[in-house]
Amino acid sequence: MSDLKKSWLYRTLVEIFGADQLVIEADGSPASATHLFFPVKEGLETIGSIGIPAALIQGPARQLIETLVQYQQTFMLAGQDGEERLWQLCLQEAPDAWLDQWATFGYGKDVRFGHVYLYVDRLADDEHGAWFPALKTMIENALEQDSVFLPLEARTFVWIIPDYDHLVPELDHLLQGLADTITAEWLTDVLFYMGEAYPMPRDIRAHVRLELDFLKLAKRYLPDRHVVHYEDLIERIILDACSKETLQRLVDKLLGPVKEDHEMLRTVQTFLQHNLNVTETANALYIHRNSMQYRLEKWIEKTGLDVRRFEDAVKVHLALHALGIVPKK
Amino acid sequence: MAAITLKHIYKHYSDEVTAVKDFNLEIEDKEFIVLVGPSGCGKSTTLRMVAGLEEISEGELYIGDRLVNDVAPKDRDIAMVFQNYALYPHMNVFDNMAFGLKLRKFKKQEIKERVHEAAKILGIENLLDRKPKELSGGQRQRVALGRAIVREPQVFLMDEPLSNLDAKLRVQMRAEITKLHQRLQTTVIYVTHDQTEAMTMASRIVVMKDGVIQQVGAPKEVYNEPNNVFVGGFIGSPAMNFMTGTLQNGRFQIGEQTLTVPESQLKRLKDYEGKELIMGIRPEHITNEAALIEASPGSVIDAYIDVAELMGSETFLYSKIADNDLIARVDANTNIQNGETVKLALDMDKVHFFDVQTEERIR
Repeated sequence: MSDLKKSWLYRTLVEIFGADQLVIEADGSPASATHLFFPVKEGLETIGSIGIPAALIQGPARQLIETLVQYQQTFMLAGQDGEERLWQLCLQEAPDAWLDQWATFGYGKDVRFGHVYLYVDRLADDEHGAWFPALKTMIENALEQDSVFLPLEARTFVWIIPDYDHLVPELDHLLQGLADTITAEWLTDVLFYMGEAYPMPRDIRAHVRLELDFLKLAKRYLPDRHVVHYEDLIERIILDACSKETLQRLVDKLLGPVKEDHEMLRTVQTFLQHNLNVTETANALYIHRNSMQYRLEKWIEKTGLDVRRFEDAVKVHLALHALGIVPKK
Repeated sequence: MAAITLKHIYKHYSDEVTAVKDFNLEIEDKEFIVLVGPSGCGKSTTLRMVAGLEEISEGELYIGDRLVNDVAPKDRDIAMVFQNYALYPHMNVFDNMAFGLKLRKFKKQEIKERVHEAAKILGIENLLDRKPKELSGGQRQRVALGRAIVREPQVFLMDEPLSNLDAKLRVQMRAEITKLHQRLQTTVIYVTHDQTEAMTMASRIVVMKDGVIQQVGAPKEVYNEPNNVFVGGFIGSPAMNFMTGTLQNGRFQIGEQTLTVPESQLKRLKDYEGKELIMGIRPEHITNEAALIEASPGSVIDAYIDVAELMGSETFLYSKIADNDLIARVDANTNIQNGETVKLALDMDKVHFFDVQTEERIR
């Protein structure tokens, strides 16, 4: 009953007729000689009905009430927080039912909505309620334009940003700042995953599930990063699709003779990170250029893979990622 | 205010990856400790363990006399400052600084007092009504510091807070943070990869590499008495010069050139006769002054100058001695040209010798 009384339709009808004139029914619309019953919608479901004395709604008055009933969700969504409510519904339920509702917000057909996902570490469940509003305020106000920040699942949130594409170049820096700010404010680690942009209205649930998988990959394989893009995950996405046996074989085949030699692995990893540049790698490792050359020659001798060549470098790059994924014996 | 003790701290990410190894350090109350080292050396991981953002794999961490290994970050009485100072764009400076206190349900009057006090310390009282976009980079960084100050924590943890600033502002903020520390009298742990920041700000420097402490000491001590080749090369700009050579009858042979090693140094090198050694010398301990060259002929080398770089107050001479790069810091008025071969005198009392295998300084 309390949900019925909170509904937009009930509150509107109370304003027109007064609460004492209305009858509310939680189960369907009963047949009545004195009252006309109208369904109250919550999402796709009918949660009850409201009865109005038939004598009060004759002629044009009845047409007006029927219009209010028919478009009750559109009117509700057009009010304060309507867009946010619509996103919540889209994230939970089949989207086709919401197609007409989008017209209320005036987004053009070409508008693409970016999805940024946030994972917050060390957030006790009982703290959630206490600091979510503050986090929401902080995130939604970080941009000049409107955006919506919503909880998805435990410690995971989605930030939906219209007209996303033009923001992407500066978003990385903004997210780095927000990550540091959240950590400084709440002393908790965070991870932002910059997802794709999708046109709306569409069924976004499948996209969200996919993006959440990427967020989980980022959490697992890039634990020291605070902002991750899809491009950062490509090797992990490919390797994550392989069986453990396949990965083990890749590691054994390519890195077998050196896989326990941490110094050698670090040297070659740094060499790959520095675009196969010997001098820059030597500088980064604080070793002499000659020592770097010596280590590379040793690597080639042991593995047969000349990491100075692009093709072998790609193989080693993937094998090093696989080494990080393969469970330790 | 609090002392911090780290006892045999380790951070393992996996069987293979250990980010921090056997880290032992006693930080005194009100000390300004700088953790410095190249990227991936474990300095930020150590800071994050102190903050409680990373779990400690092994060892004990005390803040004051309280063991805090299992204490939640929010209960450690710390405040953090990072390089990215994302201020809330919709709030003015006052609200930005007050935000954390409001979250913690502080009373209005207390928030007001703390924010005004912090703003006074930082010299930004006149900016309290402004929005972040109306502030300069330095002013924004002060607000970010202000957000930490209003918490009145026992310990400040700063992770590369100046890295995003341009060179000029960084120099200015270095001094600001040092003054702030003197005023607040709070323990600070500051992480940087910039050895100049470490040298200019620290009460003590902790130099790290590959997760291991290489040396702990006052800036001057670390600069003048480096424990090993890494510390000698990392601390100081330009870096210490290293030359590999052989000790032969009290003389150090580098390619075709020889240098006389003073008696005081030879005492330490008695086990190295006939063996390879690494000699380290700071650029400022090499001179082209005629009087010094004449006075110490055993300390003179011939150097082909690849580049003579006038820096304004000094000149850097870049040369190569038997495949070893050598940089000399000499008087700005020197008239040496690129491609010239000159005599340079090395102050052999100031050189250090390092073991070729261990790269440790021979004492």
